[in-house]
Amino acid sequence: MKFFKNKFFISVLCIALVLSIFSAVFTVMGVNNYVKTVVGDIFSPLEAGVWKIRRALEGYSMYFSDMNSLIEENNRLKDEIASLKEKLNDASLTEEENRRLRDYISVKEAHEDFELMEALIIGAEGNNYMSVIKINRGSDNGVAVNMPVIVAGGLVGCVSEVGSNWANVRVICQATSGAGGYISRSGEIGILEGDITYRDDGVCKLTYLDIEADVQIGDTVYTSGSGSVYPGGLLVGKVSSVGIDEYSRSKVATVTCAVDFDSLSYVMIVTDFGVITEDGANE
Amino acid sequence: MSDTGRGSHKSRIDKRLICECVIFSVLLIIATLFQVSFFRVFGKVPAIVLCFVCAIGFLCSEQSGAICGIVGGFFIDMLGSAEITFSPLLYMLAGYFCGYFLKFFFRKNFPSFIVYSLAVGGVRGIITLSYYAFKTKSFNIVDIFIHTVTPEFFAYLLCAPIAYFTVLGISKILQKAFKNK
Repeated sequence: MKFFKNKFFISVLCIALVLSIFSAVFTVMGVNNYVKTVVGDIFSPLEAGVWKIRRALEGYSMYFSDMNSLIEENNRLKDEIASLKEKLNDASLTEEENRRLRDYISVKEAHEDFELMEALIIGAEGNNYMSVIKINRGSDNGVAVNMPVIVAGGLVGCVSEVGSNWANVRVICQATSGAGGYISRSGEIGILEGDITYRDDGVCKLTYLDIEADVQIGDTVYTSGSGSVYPGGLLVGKVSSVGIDEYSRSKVATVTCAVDFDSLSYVMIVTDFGVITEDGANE
Repeated sequence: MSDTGRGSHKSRIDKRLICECVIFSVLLIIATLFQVSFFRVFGKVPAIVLCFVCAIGFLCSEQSGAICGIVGGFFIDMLGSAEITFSPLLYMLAGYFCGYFLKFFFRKNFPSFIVYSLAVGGVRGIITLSYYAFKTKSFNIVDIFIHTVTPEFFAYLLCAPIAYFTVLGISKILQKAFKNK
């Protein structure tokens, strides 16, 4: 402990003690330390300068440190977006399924005698306007030629060709189509035919109407059930124009189909329905 | 003649001591400004002033270390802390003993300084622990050791080479200047 005999050491120790105690006393008493205030006043501009340098450097380094966190955040957000997209997709599928089931129920409620089978549209053949649509059900599922195809909005057409797991549906406005139709307001009966002129507009003709038949624009047309292809009471569309066929001397009405064939994504095949016999009974 | 020679030698040492203290005080003020408003290593403020005081004591003399310790401690107290820290006393002792023990242990080189820094950092860690034990009601030694003492210790060690080489450079310039005179 030689240094305790050292005058220098004792002197500086005393000074250090005095300064420390002086500072401690002021702190304990909570009295304003004037020396501290003065030193602070003198050095505060320098402190501010150093602080500014620090902020500037921090901003520069933040660019790099933030870059990593931004990359991380970007990856996290990408994952989140992917998961949300998946959920959205699920939701839209659920919504679509829900809509289809509602349609199914509404058709089933309107036609209790119908045996229905759902089918998804997997393709279309035709020109600008779909006239033949392809569905994902075929003979393996019990689908046969001439089975009517409908949606909740009305009649689509009938099955024209069948494969083992696919079938083609000829829409009602196709030129080769034909079905019995009647006007609900007046009960007038005619033949629904496709017409190559109107096909692209989703319009078919109601022909062989009596020359005196009561037909007006806006009348609703349903299938009459005559013949064995289509059951009666299926909505076809509305009369859009009325005229007279010069050759057959009968009235002809054009019928705008109720179904928008372009926006179809699924259909219902009527695999069985009660046929109305001549005496009016359901078989 | 010899008396006069010894006297001029003594006065030259005093002059050099004064010169060293003045220059290093300026350096310490800058270091204090950086410590109180700039540096943060491992989320903790490293005791850069203490590093400089130890380097001064180690590379110059125990007298310079002690005086610079008082100056550094004083400025740290005035500009930094609002607590009772006894910084002038602790810094003075650190500066003095870094120079004093060099007479008995190790040589004046960088590895030796790192050993001194480890010792000073360790003592500082003990003081920090004691401070928390005294100040905190729910004192958790493991928690404080992991989250405060260890980062503080390594932050201090990281700053030690900066202080060493800065003081070494300045002391060499001073040595040259006094040799020329």
